[in-house]
Amino acid sequence: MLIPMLSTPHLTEDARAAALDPAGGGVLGETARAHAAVCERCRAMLEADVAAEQQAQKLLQMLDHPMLHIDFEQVKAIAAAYNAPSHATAHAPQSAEYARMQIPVYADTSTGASELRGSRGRTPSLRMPSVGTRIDAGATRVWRWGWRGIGVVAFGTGAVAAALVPDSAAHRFVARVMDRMVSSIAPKAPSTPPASPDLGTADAQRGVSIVPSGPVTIAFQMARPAGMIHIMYGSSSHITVHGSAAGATYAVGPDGIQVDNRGAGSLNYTIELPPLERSVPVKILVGDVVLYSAADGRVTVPASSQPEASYELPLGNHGTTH
Amino acid sequence: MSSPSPVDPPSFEEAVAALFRERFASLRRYLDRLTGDPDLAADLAQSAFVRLYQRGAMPDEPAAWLITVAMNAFRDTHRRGERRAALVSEYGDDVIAPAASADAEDTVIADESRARVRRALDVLPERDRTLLLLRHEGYSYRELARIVGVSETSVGTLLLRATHAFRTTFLAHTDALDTTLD
Repeated sequence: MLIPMLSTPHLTEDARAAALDPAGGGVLGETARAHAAVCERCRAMLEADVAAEQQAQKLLQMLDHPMLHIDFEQVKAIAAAYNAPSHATAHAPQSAEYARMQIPVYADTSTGASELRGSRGRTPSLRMPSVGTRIDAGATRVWRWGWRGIGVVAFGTGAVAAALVPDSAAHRFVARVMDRMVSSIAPKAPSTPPASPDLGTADAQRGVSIVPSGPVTIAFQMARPAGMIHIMYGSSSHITVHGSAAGATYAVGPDGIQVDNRGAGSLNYTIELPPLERSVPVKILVGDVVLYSAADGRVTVPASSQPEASYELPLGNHGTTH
Repeated sequence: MSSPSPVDPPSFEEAVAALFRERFASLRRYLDRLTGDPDLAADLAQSAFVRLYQRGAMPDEPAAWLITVAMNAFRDTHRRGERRAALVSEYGDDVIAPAASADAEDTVIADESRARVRRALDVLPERDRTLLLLRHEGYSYRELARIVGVSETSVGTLLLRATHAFRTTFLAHTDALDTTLD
């Protein structure tokens, strides 16, 4: 068989990589696959590559954490709260040279930054650098400092003269003006946005995780029609309840987890359960109604009794009374 | 350098919303795997979309743009040391473990395996780590090339090497651990 694209009798690393390209890998990929179809050694190498990819995928999945639901409306709300298009256009990459452009642009964000509200319910570390604003402000700052500096020198001279006459009216006047000047030229600390009232503090407990040894009941004290419960299955034996913000309190007892959500408004919760097939029986109550129950690999929820990968259930009053 | 093409606000919003539905989970998962901190990942992913929305126009390669913005924000955050990459469960002390049981043992094993995966990932050069993580989020070779700044033709080879290096390092850690335990 003629293999025009390959200069060696067997597939090179480049050829194998092209063969693995999900988009086909062009002519080289096509040729490499054709070669592997008739060459046992190259086919084995390609199969080893595929196996390594699959194993890598499985390993990476082990790093995944349960995730809170975030919807686009939240993005819009935050964007509206910090509606400064000039900030965004000043630092956003606008060409294919993303990597090279971005690093220096973000090199200094110590000032002119406005903070975003984080998902954890505390001021996040992430800042939105207003690079364009800083450049403009820099030119203005030079001008402002120049004239103010002259003013400071002039008043400073007067202050020295006035200081020679203690307790005089001139002394008191100059001292007062000096105070005002100093306070006006002192750099102001970057302002931070007001904290959202529905968000907790950094140290507030946001959830709890247990390793169950028997049936578990997760009981929410009251229905919250605006809240949601996202139920998902993880890979560990943990049962985790995680609120979208602080506001609820969590207590672990012999029967499971009590969530006092009476003051928690429209808080959403993510509940991660062990894989269904090896989970202890789990029941989720809202008030006195059963929102979810699972036992022996069988799930019962208001809308469906078929096991699904995850469930999104309103934290409202529905389900079956237990 | 090509400039973004302005579009009417409604259609732009729809486009961002569609991109959010298509890419947000993937972007956040990538950042979660990269940082080991699910909250930081959510912050970074969310802010990348906020910036896109504020931008008012779609970039040429929106997926690559989002990754780049998120990555630069992460580097910036990391540089200032405001957050540390958590290598353990975010709940830390909140985890309440009853008396030792088979489940608890499984959990310990799972946690150890996860830590080994994390170590294997962390020893990869940043470019290889990015390629590996993004490839498993379905990014195309073309997008990967843009994100890491290499030619599209070399992405596959770099990725293949990164995959094997990751797997080999993980297995080496596993062997070392087994030897220690033996």
